[in-house]
Amino acid sequence: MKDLSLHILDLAENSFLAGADKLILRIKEDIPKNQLILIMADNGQGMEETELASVTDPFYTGRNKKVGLGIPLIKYNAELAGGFLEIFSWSGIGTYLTAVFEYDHIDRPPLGDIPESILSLITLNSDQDIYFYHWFNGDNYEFKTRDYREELGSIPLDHHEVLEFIAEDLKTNFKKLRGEF
Amino acid sequence: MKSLQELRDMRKRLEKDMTARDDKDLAKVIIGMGTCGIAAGARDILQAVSDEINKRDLNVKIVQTGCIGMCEEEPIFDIVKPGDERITYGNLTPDIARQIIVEHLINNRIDKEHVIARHNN
Repeated sequence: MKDLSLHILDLAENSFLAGADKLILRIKEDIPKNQLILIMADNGQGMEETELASVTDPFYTGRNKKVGLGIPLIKYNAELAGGFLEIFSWSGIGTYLTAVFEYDHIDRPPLGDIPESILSLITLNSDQDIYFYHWFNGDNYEFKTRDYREELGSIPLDHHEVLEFIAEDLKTNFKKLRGEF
Repeated sequence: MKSLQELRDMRKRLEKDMTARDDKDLAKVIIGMGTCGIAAGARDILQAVSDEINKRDLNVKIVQTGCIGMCEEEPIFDIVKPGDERITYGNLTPDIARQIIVEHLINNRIDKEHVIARHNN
């Protein structure tokens, strides 16, 4: 994977494939502490302990396919960048994944286009709810599909005009938070 | 949120011209969004496809699938029109994807150069 936004897209697809209708994505960029933390939590079907133990093994797949190479790849990238990957999962409840990276590590993948990944997820999973929390050096940005759903009533989120509206919102705020304006 | 008022205005406008969507009769573009697909650029393909569909105001549904075991041909999408055979296109770039959408969905021609599989329904 070229960057973290693609890892996020990939892992989120796992969540929705596991039947989640709620996904929490938390990105914490703490430059003074030299840390980048990525947290993803879902309410999918979760995993049994034995299955959980094998998901970081690249030769494992839960064919009828729940997990493949996605988790080993991000684990490898986190460890390469002085960090680690941790997964907790409860069968029937959901899965909680944390990836930690050294912020200024030369091998840390760039963040990438996070808004574009979230948009892709909404396009393909418009009935599911995504909660995105982005923390950057003490400032916050929150994005919830639920807020849009409440305002839009019967209009689906994957309507292209809605997607364009959300895209502009996400992109503007992403840049604003990270001081790119 | 950008502007609540704008969003509410949009709702009113869209509610007026929303017709009941019956997905059964729609043509479908099925994008491979497995790990292999995403690593090979499926997100850019999705963006190109949905942009092309909106620009040309096509009535097409975009759906996804996981890894279908042809990882080396990713990014991949299938196009299936109701009652027609399902065509799998591979080794896509955003430009090729746009071209295929136009050829297949508007001009009704299969873009043979990029086909990697065909399935009869």
